[in-house]
Amino acid sequence: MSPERQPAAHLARWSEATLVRCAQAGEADGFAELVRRRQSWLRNLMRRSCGNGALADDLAQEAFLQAWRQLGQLRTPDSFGPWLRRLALNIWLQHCRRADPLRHASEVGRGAEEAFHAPAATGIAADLDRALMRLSVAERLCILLAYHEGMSHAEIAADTRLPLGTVKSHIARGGARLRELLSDYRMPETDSVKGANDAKA
Amino acid sequence: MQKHEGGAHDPVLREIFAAADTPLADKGFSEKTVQAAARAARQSRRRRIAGWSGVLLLFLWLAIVLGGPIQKVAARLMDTLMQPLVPVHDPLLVMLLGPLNHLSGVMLITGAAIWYLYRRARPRRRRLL
Repeated sequence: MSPERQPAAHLARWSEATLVRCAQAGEADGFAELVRRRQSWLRNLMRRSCGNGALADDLAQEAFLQAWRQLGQLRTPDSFGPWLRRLALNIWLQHCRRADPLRHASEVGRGAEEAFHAPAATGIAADLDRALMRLSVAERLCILLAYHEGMSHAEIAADTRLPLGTVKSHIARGGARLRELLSDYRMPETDSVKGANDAKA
Repeated sequence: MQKHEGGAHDPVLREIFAAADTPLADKGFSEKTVQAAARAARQSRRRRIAGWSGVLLLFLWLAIVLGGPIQKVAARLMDTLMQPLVPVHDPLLVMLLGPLNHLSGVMLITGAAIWYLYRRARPRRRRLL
C-alpha cells in the first residue's frame, strides 16, 4: 500500500473512525485525510512540547509515519486522537532522552536553552513556548496534558502511569512557575489574556 | 484557583493555552508527510523482499552444500537426545517416565523452568506514556 495520492474530496465528509478503518484497510487516501485533519493540532502540541517550530514539525511527521506503520495495532478507531497523541509524546520523550539522557533521568533539567532559538519571536504562543521550556520534561508533559489537552489529573495519571500525587505536584509546581513567567498575561478583566496579548503586540 | 474535572486547572493558564492554540496553516506539511509515508512503505517492502530472498537463498545453499552432513549430524543428535537416561523395562514406567527419561526432555523442562523464573524475576519497567 502506498499513501502517495491526494485525499479525495468526498473523504472530507467522513468521520474520523471511518477514515481510520479505511486507512487500516490500506487505503492511502484515508490516511492522507487523517493527516490533513490532525496536522494543526499535533504540530501545535509538539510546538508546546519542544518549543521549536522546525523540530516540532519533524517530530509530528515522525509521529504520523509511526501511526501509518502501526495503524493495524489500533483496536478502537474512535480513539485515534489519544493514540496518536501518545505516539507523538513518546517520540518527543525519546528525543529528550537522546538529547540529554542524564538530565532527563534526573528530571530536574530546565529546557530553556534546549530548543528555542528564536528569542525575537513575539506573541502569546511564543511567550508560552518560552515559559514551558523553563519547566522540567515531566512538569511540561503533565501541564500540556492538563491545559493543552484538557485532561483531568486522574486521566493524566492513567495515561502516563505516574502516581496521581506526582501528577498533581508536577501540575501545581509547573503551573505556579508558568503563572510567574507569564505574569504579564494575568489581568483582572475577563478578557485578560486577549488584552495582554494586544498590549504586547 | 478553580477546581475543574478532577484537577485544579487555573483559569488564566487555561485562557493562555486556548489563545496560543491557533490553527496552523498546512503549508505542504500533509503532502510531505504522505509522501514520506509512501517512501517508507516502499523501502519497507523492498527490505522485506530482500530479507526473504536472502533467507531463501541461504536455505537453498545450505540444502545443496551441507544437506548430507547436516542430515548425518541431525540423526546422531537425535539418537543422543532420545537415549534413555535410566534403563527402565516396565512398560508402564516407560510410559510414565517417557518425557523425562531422556536428555531432550530434561533440557526442555530445564529451559521452561529458567524462562518461567526469568519472567517472574524481571523488573517491570515504569512507563511515562
